[in-house]
Amino acid sequence: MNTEGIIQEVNSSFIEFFGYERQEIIQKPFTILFTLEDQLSGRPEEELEKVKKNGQANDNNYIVHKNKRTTWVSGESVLVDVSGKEPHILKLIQNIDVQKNHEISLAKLNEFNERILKSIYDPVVVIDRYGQIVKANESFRSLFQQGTDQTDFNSMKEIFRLNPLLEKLLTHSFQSGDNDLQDEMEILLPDGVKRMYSFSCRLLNLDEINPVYLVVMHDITMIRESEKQREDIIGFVAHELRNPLSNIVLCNDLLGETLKEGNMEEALEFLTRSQNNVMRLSKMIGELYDATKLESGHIRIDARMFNMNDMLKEAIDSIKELQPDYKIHVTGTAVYDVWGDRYRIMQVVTNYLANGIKYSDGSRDIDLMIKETEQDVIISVRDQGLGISREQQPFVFDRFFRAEKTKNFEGIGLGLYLCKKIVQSHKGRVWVESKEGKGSVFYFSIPLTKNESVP
Amino acid sequence: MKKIIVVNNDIDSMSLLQTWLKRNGFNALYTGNAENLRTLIEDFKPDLLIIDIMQNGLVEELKNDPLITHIPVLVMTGYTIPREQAVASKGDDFIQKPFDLPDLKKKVDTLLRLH
Repeated sequence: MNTEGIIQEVNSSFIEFFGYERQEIIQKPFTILFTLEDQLSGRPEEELEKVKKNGQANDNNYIVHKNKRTTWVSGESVLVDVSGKEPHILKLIQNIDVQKNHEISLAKLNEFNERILKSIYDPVVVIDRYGQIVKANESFRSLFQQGTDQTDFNSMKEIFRLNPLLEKLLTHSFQSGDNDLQDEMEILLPDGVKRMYSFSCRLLNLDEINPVYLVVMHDITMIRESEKQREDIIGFVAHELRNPLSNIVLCNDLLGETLKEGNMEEALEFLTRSQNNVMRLSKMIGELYDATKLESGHIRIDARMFNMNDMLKEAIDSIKELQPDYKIHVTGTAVYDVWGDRYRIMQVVTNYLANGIKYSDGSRDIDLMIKETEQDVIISVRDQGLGISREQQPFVFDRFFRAEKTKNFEGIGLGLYLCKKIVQSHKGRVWVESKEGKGSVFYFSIPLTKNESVP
Repeated sequence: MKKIIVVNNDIDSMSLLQTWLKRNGFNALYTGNAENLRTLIEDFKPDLLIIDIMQNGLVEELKNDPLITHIPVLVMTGYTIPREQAVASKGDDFIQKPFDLPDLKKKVDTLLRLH
C-alpha cells in the first residue's frame, strides 16, 4: 500500500485466505480490513503514522474476511523507500488465530479457577515445599493477613511462626511423600484468636521440580464447642438422674431390711420414699424429653379456645393437693377466652406456682395475678422468697440454669426453659422481675383473640 | 460406735444415707450446710466424713485444716469421673452414685479401720 494506506497489491495467499477478489481490494483504503471497533478507535491511522515515523510497526489485531469472519493476526509493516520508486508500505500478515484462541480459553479457564477459589468459603492456599504462597483465596488472605503488616502476602513464614506445629506437620508431609494429609489442629491467628481447624494437604503435581500443595482449611471450632457442650449436658443430666436413683437403691435396701424384721410401719415409709424418688426421676425424664422435643421444634401444640379462669383454678387445685400448707391468693379475673394448648399452658402455670413454693424461703403466701391488656392476657406469680440477682435474671429461662443460691434444691433446670418454649410457641412472652431477698414475680403473656367468654 | 457425718445438698439423700448407716452399726449425722460443718465436727468428733463432690472445694479446704485433716473423707459423686479426678479432690476414697451398697459398706469399713 502507499503511504496514504491505499492498497496497491496483494499476493495470492492473501486472496486465498481472506476471500477478496483482487479488483475488490486494490485501490481501497486498508482500513476496510479492520473491525469497525478498531476503525472507530483510529487504530489503522495510528499504525500508518507509526510506520511512516519509525519505518516499521508491529501489531496484533483482527483482520476482517470478505465474509465478515475475523482472524487474529500478527502484522509487521515496513516502509520501503528506495530511490527511483514511490515510498510504499509492505505489510506481512501472519495468522496467529489459533494461539489467540488458546490465550482466550486459558484466560477464561484462569478466571474460572479464580472464581471457584473465591467462592470457596473455606480458606484455601497453594504453597510450595518452601512455604512460598503460590495462590491463596480471599478467605485465606483475610484470615491471616489482618493484624500483620505484611503488604505482600507471599510466604507462610508468619503463619508458621505463630503455629510451629503446623509447619512441622506440613514439612513432614512434604518430606515423607504423604500426599494426602488430613488432620485437625488449633490455629493461632495473627489477631491472637485461637480456632480449631481441620485441614487437608494434597500434592498438586503440576511441576515435578518444584511441586506445589493444596491446603484446604475448615473451621470446626463451633462443632467442637457444641460437642463439648453436649458432653457437659449429658454429664450433668446423668448426675441429676443418679441422685433419685441412688435414693431408690437405699430405700429398697432399707425396705428389704425392715420387711425381714416385720416392721411394717417403717417398711411402708421406705416404700413411699422410694415411690417419691421414682416420681421425681420420672418427672425429670419427662422434662428432658419435652425439652428435646421443643428444641427440635417437634412439640405438638393442640390449640383450641378455653376458659382461662377454669384452667387457673385447676392448676391451683393440683398444687394445693401437693402443698396444702401454702396459700395461693388470686387477683383479677380473665374476661376473654384464650386460644391455645390448655394442657401446655397449665403446665406453665403449675411450674410457676411450684417454683414460687420451692423458693419461698419460709413464707407461705404466693400471689397469682391475672391482667388483660388490649393485645394479651398476662399471668404472673409472685413469691416472697430468695429472689434472683440482677446478673442472673437474664438467664433464668435458659436450659439447665439454676441460680447460685438454689443449687440445694432438686430439679434439673428445665422447668422454666420449658415454660419459655411453650409460651413462645403461643407467640407469647416470659419475663421476671426480682429483687434479691425480696422475692420474684414471674410473668407470661398469651396473645388474645378477643372472643368474649361465654358466662 | 464409729461416728460419721454426711454432707450433701439433697435432704432426702442425706437422711436415707443416715438411716442406712445407722442400721449398719454407725452413729451418723448429716448437714447440707457447709458453714455449720466445722462446728458439727468439733462437737461430734466424727471418725469419717462422706461428702458429695458437688460441694466445690470443701474437701480440700477440710484437708488443709490441721484439726480436721486426720479425719478420712469418702467422696461421693453422681458424675462419671475418672478415679484420678476423685483422688485430686483430696478425698481418701470415692464412691459413685447410685451406690453399690456392699461396696459402700466395704469402703466405709476400710476407711474407719485405717484411721
